[in-house]
Amino acid sequence: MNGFAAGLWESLVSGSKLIWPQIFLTFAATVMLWPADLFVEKARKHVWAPITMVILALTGALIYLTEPGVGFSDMYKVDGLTKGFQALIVLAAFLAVMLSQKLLDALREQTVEYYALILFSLVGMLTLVGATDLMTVYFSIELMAICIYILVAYLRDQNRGVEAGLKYFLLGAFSSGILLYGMSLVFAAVGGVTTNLAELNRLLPVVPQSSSLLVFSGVLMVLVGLCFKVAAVPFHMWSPDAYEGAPTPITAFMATAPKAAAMGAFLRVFGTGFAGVSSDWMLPLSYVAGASMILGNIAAVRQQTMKRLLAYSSIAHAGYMLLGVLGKGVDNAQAVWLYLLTYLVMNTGAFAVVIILQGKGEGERIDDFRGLAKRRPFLAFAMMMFLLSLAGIPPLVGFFGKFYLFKLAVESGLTTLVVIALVTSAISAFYYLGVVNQMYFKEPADLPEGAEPEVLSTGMTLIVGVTCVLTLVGTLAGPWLVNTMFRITWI
Amino acid sequence: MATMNAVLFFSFLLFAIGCAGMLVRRNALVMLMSAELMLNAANLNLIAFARHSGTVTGQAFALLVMGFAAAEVAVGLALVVALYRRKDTVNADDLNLLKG
Amino acid sequence: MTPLWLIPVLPLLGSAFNGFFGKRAGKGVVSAVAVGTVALSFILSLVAFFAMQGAAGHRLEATYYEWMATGGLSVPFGLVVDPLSGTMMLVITGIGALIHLYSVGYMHEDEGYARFFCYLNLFVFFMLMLVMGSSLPLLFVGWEGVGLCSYLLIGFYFETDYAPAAGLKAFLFNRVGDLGVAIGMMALFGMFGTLTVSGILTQAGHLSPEAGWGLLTFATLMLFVGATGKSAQIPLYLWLPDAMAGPTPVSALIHAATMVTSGIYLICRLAPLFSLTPHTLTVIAWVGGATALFAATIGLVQRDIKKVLAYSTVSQLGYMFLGLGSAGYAAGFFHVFTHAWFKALLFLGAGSVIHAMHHEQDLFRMGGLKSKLPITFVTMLLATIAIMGFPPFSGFFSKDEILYLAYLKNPALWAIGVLGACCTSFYMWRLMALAFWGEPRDHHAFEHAHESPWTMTAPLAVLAVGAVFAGFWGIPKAFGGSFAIEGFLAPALTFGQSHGAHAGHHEGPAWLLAGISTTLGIASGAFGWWMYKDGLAKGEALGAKLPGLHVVLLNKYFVDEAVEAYLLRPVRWFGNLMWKLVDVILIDGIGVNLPGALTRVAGDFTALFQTGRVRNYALTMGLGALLLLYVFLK
Repeated sequence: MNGFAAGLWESLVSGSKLIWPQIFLTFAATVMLWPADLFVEKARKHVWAPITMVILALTGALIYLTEPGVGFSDMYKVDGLTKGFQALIVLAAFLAVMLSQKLLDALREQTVEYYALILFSLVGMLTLVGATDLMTVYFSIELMAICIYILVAYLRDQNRGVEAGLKYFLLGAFSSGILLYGMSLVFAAVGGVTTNLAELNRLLPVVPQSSSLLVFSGVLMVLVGLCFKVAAVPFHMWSPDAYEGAPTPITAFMATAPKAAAMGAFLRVFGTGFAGVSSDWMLPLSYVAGASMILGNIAAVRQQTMKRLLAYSSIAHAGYMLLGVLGKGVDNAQAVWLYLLTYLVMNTGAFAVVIILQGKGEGERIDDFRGLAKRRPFLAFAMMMFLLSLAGIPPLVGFFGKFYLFKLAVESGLTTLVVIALVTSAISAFYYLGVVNQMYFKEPADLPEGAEPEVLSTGMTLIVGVTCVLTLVGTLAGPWLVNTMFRITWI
Repeated sequence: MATMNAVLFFSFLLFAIGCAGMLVRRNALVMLMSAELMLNAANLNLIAFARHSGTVTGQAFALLVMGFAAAEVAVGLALVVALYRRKDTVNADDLNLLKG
Repeated sequence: MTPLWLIPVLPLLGSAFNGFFGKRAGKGVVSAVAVGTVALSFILSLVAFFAMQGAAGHRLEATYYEWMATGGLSVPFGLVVDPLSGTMMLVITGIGALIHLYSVGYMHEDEGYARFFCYLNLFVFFMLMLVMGSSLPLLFVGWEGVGLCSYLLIGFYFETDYAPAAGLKAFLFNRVGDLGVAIGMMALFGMFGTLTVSGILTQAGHLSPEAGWGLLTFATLMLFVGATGKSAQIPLYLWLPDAMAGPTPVSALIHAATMVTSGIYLICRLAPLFSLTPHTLTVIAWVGGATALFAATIGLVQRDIKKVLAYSTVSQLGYMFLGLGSAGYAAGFFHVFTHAWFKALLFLGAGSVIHAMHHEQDLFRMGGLKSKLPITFVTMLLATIAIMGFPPFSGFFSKDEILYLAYLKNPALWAIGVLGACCTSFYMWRLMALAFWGEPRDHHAFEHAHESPWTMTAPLAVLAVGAVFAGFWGIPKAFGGSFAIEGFLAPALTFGQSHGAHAGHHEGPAWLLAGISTTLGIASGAFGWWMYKDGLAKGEALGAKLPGLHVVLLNKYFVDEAVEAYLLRPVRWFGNLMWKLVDVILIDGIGVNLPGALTRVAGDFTALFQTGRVRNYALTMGLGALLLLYVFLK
């Protein structure tokens, strides 16, 4: 064996220690698809949900056990940021799978591919948050996105599903073209020597004046590509449609896991790679953040279906989270992580309630929430807590997350944006309370006996119950959360 | 540097054509091809500048992009086929159920 | 050491119990749990209150753990009992327990019995968090929590159309105020780097008086905006009259005695800060004075017995702010204390009347109830005398001290206050005369009217004792008293600082001022009684003579209509416009119509824009990116 091959082998072996979670996921999902699926009868495909949950739990354990380090020629790095965001992503996937099982049963759409695709997309997301090279960033984004295109169009017998999938795909391809072109421009600007983030951070501030347009337009295009992934205005147009057309558990998944992954990439790429040229992207990004808060919250007011309402609200939340990117610095990244965690809890809870009421794959209208407090007091109460928490009303967890994020943003001098954030979150109470009004202060619509499809199981009840309790008393765990949060670092 | 500027200009042209295709064409298949054009514009930059600096990073990047582009096309075509089966059309403008 | 945490937690447990098991448990258990937990809290509050008086610096503080801690910020999860919060705790749990007891009778026949007590107990919990919290975030938790409970309780009768709307209105108006508090908190954090009350006040003590310019004034003004929301002051007072859509005990507890005074509490809590910002104080004084007079004039012509009391509350809250603005924190807070007694009594009395008249709230359909409801009549009479400021009833001392301080600040404020007091006296006697004197105007309801059960009358009697005697806690110095409450509150209000809150030098014609305001008050009260004691005739004649004024007052100065026309409608219009801009113009317009025009100009370019939706999305993305490019290159 010659020296080069030996070196390569050595680097793979040492690097593979860092990506055990990804290796395990890939292996498990592949075995699930073939040959394991051959031995599962068609009527018993629902067993894949608990198996997937076990796999995810094991992945979580692997993530916990992975030692921090750098590998693959500095293209991938495990540090506090990686592990923290990976944990969030796996948790989001776990909850989404838990939400999926009964709904897919009701729709008679249980297949192994659904779960395997979630796992494959997870491989992309887990890699994305640890990516320290533009190459890794691009490939993991693509891996994540390609799997999700298929999941959005999973209900291929419904026009809405196919339409949502294709729309998301076309726009996604467009944005990935912009992203990659931006990366190539950045690469060109530094003379074609590196795509490594740390190297770029060193080289970008000192490029000659003649190439400064390349730097700026490259950075801007990368910004556009990532903004597309977190659904920030004006690159948000796909998200309400995709959210509405996708199966609801996938909607819940999309609103949390890829968003967390993309936020992680945002923090890493702009916080470490492009930190030196922050004057190039601070202004455009702050426009994007402000526009997301304003448009997301205003557009949500006139929505008729719950999924679209939550889609627009997630656009607004993305705007809030971008405050953390704008603030730069590690503590801001920690605040984003905390925000995502609280958002994950309350958002999953809200989607769980939607799924329980929904049963069939059609979008749940806000009118259908009328008088829910009378029919299903517990569900209505839980939903009220989720919505109020999304609106950021103390003492619910949503307030906790917002509080940290805004406080740090003020310290970073983003006063104008924080004022916009405060004003728009006051507006957001308007539409969240609109739903609460429907549930608590309206008579139930006249439903024929037994016409109301409901997906209820121990699992669903458990999710709603647990997320509701966490939403209610989550802030009491503040000290612990904050301690955990401090471990999110990229140093 | 003059050659490099020519490369940049050419790749920008490719990119612009791709963008225009995305914006202008109604046929989902052609939109797909336009997206590929945008990727190839980037590939051109990557390869040319890698060659210019004498490193392999950019070339490796471009190779892998091609692989991913193939995967993307596979999924895209599948979606277009699904659309064609349901609606007998590949016109992106006929995607009009979801709005607001 | 008293376990302080038990005081708020008990009502929370009661609320949880009634929420989860209330329906199955039956009304007896629900009432016992609801009243019992609050009563227990009251006893514990008493214990804590006396323990506090023996404690060093008149302050008990318990920190349970570090709630939030990041680099620059530490927010302990702690509770504080000092003279200020201690008094509020006694009012909340004491009057709260009485009102819970009263509700047992009042809500007896309601099917949402358990739900009602669940919300009401929850309210007590949040209110206690608000007053006991040792840091501003914790206070803010209570602040938002009471708003939520208020929203739920106002909308309690959701079968009606107006109750849910009123609840939403209250919540949204409060959100505007909350925004002020949030911004104020941020500003204070920016200045002091801490959010605990003691931390802020300690650092404020080191500021020089000139520091009152700039950020500090901004912060205190923002906090005052929050206070105007919660405490229903101009311009955010509109929600309180509508909030009367809730059950009457709710009006008594939340919208008269406790929640609406939390704005005053907030300012007293941070009194040393406000003392540093004289401009804010001036704003507070004028807003308070204006509200006091403005709301009182509206109260003159209302027909709904609860609406009269609602405007009266708005007006009395205005007096409290007038006192605060005149640097009389103790005086303002003293009025909170006395007002809690007599206004809760008035509301419960009104509830008793409404209960007796089978949910009739229109004063013009009452009359002659004196003989039918003797206990209600006597207790309400005492409360009326107290609110009109007749010596030596409780309202006299507190209101007189405020007016006196207002005179020292600016005689014009005093004149406004006295005018408002005359109106107060007039509308209260009008209310009494219409309800209890004269001939019954609705004979059917009159025949069936009966005195309420003991659970309702007993609280009335207890509150009446307070309404009469509560004033003796603070007999002003000018009348030979010692204004004991000021000395008592001093540790909390001044926070050990020399230039903290003291009411200024007592010099001025105290006896003369008191004499004028009392005489005028009695005269207008007598006039009100004389006008309406025999029925509506004289009042209608007077209204006919002043048609313009009458219409304006009857319609509450048309403020609601103005808000609808000039604020809400444009906001809705704007929302619609935004939607149209994005959806209709950007998508359909640029995408569809504009190309139509372009077609004629440049045929082949049609294909460029004649699009369906996906490409419009792509176009928006592209335009967005170009816009960002422009932003940078500009």
